[in-house]
Amino acid sequence: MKKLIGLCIVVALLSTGAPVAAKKEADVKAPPVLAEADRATPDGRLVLSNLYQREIETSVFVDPVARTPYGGTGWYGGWGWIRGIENNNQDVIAARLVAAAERNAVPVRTALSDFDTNTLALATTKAALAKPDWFQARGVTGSSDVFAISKADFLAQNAAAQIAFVRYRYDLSPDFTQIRVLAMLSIERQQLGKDGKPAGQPVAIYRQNIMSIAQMRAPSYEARDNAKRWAADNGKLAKAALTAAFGQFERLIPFALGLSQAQLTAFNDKNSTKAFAGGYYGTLVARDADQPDAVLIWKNGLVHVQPVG
Amino acid sequence: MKLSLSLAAAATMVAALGVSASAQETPAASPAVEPGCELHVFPSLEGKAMTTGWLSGFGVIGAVADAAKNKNRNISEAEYLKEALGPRLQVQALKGIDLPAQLKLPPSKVVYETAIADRNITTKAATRLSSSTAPCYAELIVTQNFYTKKAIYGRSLNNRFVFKDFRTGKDKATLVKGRGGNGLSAFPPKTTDETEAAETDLRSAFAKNFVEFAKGVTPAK
Repeated sequence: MKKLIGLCIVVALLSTGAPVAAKKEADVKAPPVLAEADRATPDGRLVLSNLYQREIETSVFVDPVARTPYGGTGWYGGWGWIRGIENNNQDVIAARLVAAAERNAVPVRTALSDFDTNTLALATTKAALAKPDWFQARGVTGSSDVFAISKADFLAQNAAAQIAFVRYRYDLSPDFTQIRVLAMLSIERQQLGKDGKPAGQPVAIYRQNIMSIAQMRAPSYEARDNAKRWAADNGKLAKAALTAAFGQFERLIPFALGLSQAQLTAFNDKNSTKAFAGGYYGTLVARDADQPDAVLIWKNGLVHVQPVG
Repeated sequence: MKLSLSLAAAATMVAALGVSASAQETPAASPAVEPGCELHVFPSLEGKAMTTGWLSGFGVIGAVADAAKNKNRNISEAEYLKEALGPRLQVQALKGIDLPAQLKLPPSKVVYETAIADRNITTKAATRLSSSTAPCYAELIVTQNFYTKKAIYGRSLNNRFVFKDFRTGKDKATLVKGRGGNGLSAFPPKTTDETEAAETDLRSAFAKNFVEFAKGVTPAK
């Protein structure tokens, strides 16, 4: 049960604000803009590209349960008991939602079982990082399993002034209307000893999250029906959505790496032009010239939404 | 896609945009002539339930006992409410009403959108939540589905709504917030035989709640 609740919290965080949530996981606060002085690296950068999962994840929307007006800790803790009961109600509802989402995801997972998302993720990273001239990716190491190459092992084995990490997660939105891919970018400056080998903890100098969402056109209000549409014809639509969502990173990652402080300040300006897309509300960055329904916004990170189907 | 870095350029592109990506249905109010106005409706994902009994009137211990006693009921009724009055069924209930007329709008094309989970967006965002650029444009958002059973007042369904009228030509609209609450006689059902009557009762109360809310809405000036 506890595991289920833990999973629920993770997926809820991912569903409500993945760019924000993933940012909070960061061990070190790093800016979302790469300083000009850090761009040039004479020896190039090493890159580790990870896909964190073997199958598509689910997410749930857990709305707050009804509360009595006197929750809290007053009256010698009596109201606190009530709050405890209410919180437990929410946990029970969340656990059942997770179970339902997992059931609904079965046909999508089955249809995607022959789809090589790992290779797609690695190819995406390679294509995206080859675009900025200044980036100079020396080599891209891929790993579908986070435990196969731990960060510490990778750093110990590789000497480079800077190492870039591109980590991906993908999931279905709570109502199964979207397939979402989150890319977590970070660059660390490695401390090298006199012998040229890594020494000491690397310093994070850049961190940014990008969400690429493929949104089903004219979806149903029922998650089960949407799951069937994703899975139909051996997962044709789900595969197209994943391909389209990953494909956007080939443009979004270079764009994110090239952002300047002035652009970031403009994105965070509370008077900026706002847009709503894919469940996110943030500063409108651009609408796609070739796809009028597709939009790029900034909500503590880049969020791109495009229709599929 | 060509990413424009200029916000000004992006704003220009907004104006060039057309149809909503998430729009689900577009039934016209008048079959003869396509109305120039649009009303975009966002149902709610929410479903809350709370039953309180006489024990709540007996201080802290009574209230704790009440909360504990009704714990399972509150869970199952919230789940049932989400099923019986989920987005699809809210839309079904609203289709039985002439929404533009109730909201004092000219004949409008009603577009049903996907539900938005984030309450910060539904209750605070003053700009459009669709990509439509129609000059005659309004939004209706359902923000709460709340079933209560109280010892004195009995069973009722309460809904909250937000109405945004963009016909003034501005990018941001005033959020007109309000609620409607009506009693329930058959929901929740006691046996499976009563399911249909209970759900009809629920949707009827939902429709009445909207009409109650709409009475207080005045057109934007």
